[in-house]
Amino acid sequence: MSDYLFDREGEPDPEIARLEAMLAPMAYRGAAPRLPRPARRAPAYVVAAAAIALAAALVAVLIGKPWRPRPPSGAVAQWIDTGEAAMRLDVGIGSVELAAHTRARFVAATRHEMQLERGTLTATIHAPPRQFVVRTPRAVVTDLGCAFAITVDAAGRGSVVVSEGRVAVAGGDAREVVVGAGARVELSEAGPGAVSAPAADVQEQQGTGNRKPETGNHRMAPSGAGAHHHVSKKHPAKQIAPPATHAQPHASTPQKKDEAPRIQHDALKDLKNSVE
Amino acid sequence: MIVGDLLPQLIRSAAAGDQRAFAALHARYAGMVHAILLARLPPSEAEDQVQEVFLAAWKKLGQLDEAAGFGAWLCAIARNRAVDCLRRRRPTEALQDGWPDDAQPSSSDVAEAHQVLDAIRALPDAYRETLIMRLCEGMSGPEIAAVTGLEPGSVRINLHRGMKLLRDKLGVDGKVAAS
Repeated sequence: MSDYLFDREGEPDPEIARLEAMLAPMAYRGAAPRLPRPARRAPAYVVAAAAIALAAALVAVLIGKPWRPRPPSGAVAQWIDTGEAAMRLDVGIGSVELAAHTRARFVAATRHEMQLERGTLTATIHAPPRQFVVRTPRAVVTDLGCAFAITVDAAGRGSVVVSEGRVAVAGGDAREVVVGAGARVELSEAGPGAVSAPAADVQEQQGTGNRKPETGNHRMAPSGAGAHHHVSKKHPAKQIAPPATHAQPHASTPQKKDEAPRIQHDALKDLKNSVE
Repeated sequence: MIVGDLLPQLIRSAAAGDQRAFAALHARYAGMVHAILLARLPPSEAEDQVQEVFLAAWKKLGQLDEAAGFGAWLCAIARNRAVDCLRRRRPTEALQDGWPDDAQPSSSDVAEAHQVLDAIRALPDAYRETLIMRLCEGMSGPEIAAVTGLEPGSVRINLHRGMKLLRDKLGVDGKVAAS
């Protein structure tokens, strides 16, 4: 027996058929709604860039001028020739003064690394050690928290004079000489050479790895006659110290037995003071 | 007719934004959703809400545990939607159970159809939803069972019991009996 109400098959029930015809116009005839387009998620770097741009725009609006990264006093990679006048540069973590007739440039956008081709560069740095580096033709001078002056000629000959704190001076063979306040290290075509007073601050650090082994006589030049002339007056006591014999071994001038302990003692004392 | 094996794939595709899969689901289940809404809301509002129900369901497709429960899950969304619509209506509107002005019947046939619909809407939930699917949407009992997830036997019982109650309300000639 058919059940038209349930399966819509067989002989239609007249009453049900009439209700069907009556209500059929109310049946739903609508189409499926369009799905909203899924929002594309921007990559993280795009979001970050947008945030930075937004922040920059906000700053620009607030201060009334377009925002740009703070340019260094000298453009990166662009040589600075001071000519007849000295020039003072802000390096973010201190200042650098380029004397007249100096040629230098920034080699990093951070302004923390400079190349000095010739002339005199005086730096005063207020930053943790090794944040500021100056490359000369034959040496690399790394700030260890100090004030210093570098003078070189186009051949790389010159000197580094430390007035405060310490600097590390490295040559092509990667040997690094740490020079304390009041001391001076000569720069030759072979790299850093003799270190003058105060001897207390002079140390040598041998390079590691496959760097060329170094012998004392090979690297160290005799201290010059005028080695003490550029020592800072802030450290007069250190001027009377003898040359850093342990840092500048010389075959023709063997070290006196009674000098070494005093020099080492002074070096330790000075190091301790610098740490404190 | 969407075979059981195809439903999970359609649901996955629709959840991923596939308009064709979504349209296929809509074609199969829109009558059911409309019947559930029409059992509670005026015709014009019920029609409008069908799309809202499907969009709401699409947004929640990720919460659906298994495809087999899709029909019952969609029924629940439609019922909740109807309840929300009734709650949002202002108190004065809630007291009115008639049709909006634009849905007022313009002929005696249409007026009679609305009277019949009113009579169906006065039935218990299980009967009115099933009867509207059968008489208004033109679905057969097995189709109703397939989309709602009900047992075919339950659908048959709901249809016959609901029809008996409707006949009592409509009287011998199909007119709504005076209460």
